[in-house]
Amino acid sequence: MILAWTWLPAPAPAREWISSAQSGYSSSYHTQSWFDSLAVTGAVPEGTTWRLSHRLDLLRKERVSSTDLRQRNQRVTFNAGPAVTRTLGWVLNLEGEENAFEESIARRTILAKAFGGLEWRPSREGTVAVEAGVVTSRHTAEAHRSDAGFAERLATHWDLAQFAGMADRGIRADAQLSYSGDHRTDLPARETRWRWHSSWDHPGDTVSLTWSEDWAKTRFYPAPDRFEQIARQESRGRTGRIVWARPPRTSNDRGLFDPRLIALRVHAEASTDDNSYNMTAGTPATLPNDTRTSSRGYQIESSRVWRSLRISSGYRYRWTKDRFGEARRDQTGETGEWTAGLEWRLSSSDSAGAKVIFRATSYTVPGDSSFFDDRDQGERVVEIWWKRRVSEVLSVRPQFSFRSFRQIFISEQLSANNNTDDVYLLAPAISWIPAPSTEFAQQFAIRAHYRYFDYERTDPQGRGTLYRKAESISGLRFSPMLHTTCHLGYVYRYEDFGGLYDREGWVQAVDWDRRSHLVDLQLSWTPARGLSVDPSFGLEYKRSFNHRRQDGDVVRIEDDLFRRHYIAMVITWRGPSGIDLDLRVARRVQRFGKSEKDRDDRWQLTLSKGLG
Amino acid sequence: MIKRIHHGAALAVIVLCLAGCAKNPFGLRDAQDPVQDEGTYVTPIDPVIALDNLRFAMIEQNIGHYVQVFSDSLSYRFDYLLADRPDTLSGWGYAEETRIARNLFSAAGNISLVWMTTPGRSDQLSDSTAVFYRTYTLDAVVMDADTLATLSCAGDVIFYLERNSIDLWWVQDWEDFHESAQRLSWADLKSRFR
Repeated sequence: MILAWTWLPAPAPAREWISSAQSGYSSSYHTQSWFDSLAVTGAVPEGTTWRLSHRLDLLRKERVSSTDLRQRNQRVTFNAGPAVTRTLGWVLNLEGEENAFEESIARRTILAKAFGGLEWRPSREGTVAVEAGVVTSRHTAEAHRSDAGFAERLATHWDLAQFAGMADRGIRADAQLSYSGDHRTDLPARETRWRWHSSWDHPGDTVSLTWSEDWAKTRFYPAPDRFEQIARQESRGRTGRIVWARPPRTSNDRGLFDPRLIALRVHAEASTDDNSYNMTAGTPATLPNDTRTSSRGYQIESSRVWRSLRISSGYRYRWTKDRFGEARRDQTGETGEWTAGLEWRLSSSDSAGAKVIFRATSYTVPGDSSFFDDRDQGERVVEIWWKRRVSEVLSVRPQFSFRSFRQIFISEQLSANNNTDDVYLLAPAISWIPAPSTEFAQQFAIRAHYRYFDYERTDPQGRGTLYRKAESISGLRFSPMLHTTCHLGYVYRYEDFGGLYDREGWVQAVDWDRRSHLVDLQLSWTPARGLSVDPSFGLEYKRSFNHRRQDGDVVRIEDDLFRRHYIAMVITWRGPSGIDLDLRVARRVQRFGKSEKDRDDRWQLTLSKGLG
Repeated sequence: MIKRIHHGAALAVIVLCLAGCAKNPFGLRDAQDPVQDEGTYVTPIDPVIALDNLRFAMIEQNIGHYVQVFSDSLSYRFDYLLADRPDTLSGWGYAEETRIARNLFSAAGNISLVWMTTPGRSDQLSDSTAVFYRTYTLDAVVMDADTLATLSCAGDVIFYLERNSIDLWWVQDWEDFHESAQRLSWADLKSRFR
């Protein structure tokens, strides 16, 4: 099929009739996947627009212990709209869909829809489309079931502000409404959606209001291979949102604390989603619980630019309630977050910044809940950075950050593992560009990750743990000749981990350490117009040691040696007649300790053709 | 005058928001002293530790450890992709996953979970992401129609892990495949406790 459409003759450029076509095949391990996609649009005869699209995905996973897993999903659609008059046109929609899983068991669903109707466009500001048609479906497993029925659809959209001539005053008001009904015998469905969006751009201020609601009643077979049971799902959702944004009033500098110079944005939102399930036919099956999720929240952000300073601050609040059919399973969540930021341009070559975040989230369950998972999460973040541009070609950027994450369970049943994670990171970086075609970057990162437990533990891990990591990341990019760029990267990493013990001060007893070397070489070569060849090679070497204490001494015993290398090639060709070819080939070989070598070969070919 | 009213109204809205519904971002509640052991949980500084934590959380039925294994934006998917089924029946997210685990742990008497690397596949590890292929056998003793029944499940899972903001590993995506259509999968077991 790839070849069939790839070699289609190019049509006259004025008549755009093929939008895009793509085919691809990839193979990795024991999985093969194939996809085909074709979209054709046309405008012939004059006054008629039409579009045909097809997408096919095939997947096959070879399995040793059981039947191969196969999956096929395809969808084809055809829409056409021949015009009757300037404002009125016919509408024709055909849709077909197939979803098949594990062909040996032949679980398959085929759905076909055919609709015809009228579309009325009285003006640019509004449309109304009414369609009627038939829907058929066929479900196949060990048995099969066919179903068919009439269906109708209505969709309308109006730009009311434009319609009323208020758009010039900065007012927008859009309304959308859609309804669809499907009258199949087993699986009838109805769905209604409407959405209202309005905004007002007052000089300086913007206020926008959005409200949307949707409601749907659908049926489905709750067991994938039995069709005598039919379940009904009713869902309803509502969302409301209001946003108010105010830029700084004036550019005259009247001091740091002049409130008129503060940019403000307030965003508030509330939503609910309900889902309920029940059986309409057959014996009761396992159905999901009814759910009702509600949320509301707001966010206030402010920022102020004063001389070389930019100061920002914000507060976010969010409340959620999840109801799951039984009060004892319900859960309420509440989050408060405060952020502050500062960016300071110290001189033409120096800048610095800081960011602080405090966040707390509480989950509360009803008092009679037997799940004991009342819990709190707290997070604190502090980041400080400084950037100095030493010269045109050299800059340095030290960065320090501290993150603290605390999760606690309130109940005595689950509080034993309550702990706090504190992570300290110091990461200076240097960037040097000695020549336009050469760039060197070096970064060092030192990280200490403490975990403190609130209570004494029964395991020998100590009252806390410390994980340390130090790494050096080097990168060199250079262009040795025209159309060729090389990138060489090297990472060295040291890690260790162990418990923390109180021996007149906290000390770490290292349990293991690990040293890693990673080398990465990439080449990008453009030998001809439209053709690029990008080979790459990588190497990873990782050695781990366990620490054992014997007679007061620490003995390092090799635990694992991991080696991996990969070689890959990407060839991209943008040929004549709109043909694009993308070929990716990679081989990865890795080995853990003395285990067998593991080899993974993968390749992927994608062909695209766009015309017009 | 209109401007003043405008500003006053906006400030009133902000004050009402803060006064009516706000949460202190600096403080947490106090916990009760524990009466049970902490269970098996190791700081997930390696992706494979996160997977061990998941297995032990299942076996020990410890919801506190279970919820720490996953990203807030977890995506759990299983292998029935048939039309006419609601989206919620082909997968779910973090809140639903932890709720199902709570239901399962409260109903299960005993859970055993054994897994091994899926034959013909090997794990993919990089600096910030990891993919694990496991073939599992999961047995759960649960109350079914007032009698104890053992639900025996088997299948293949793919775990996609990534480093979180504090450099610990957690599960971002989880795919579950039946071993065969005649045998329950992990997803089928979960579906019974939705």
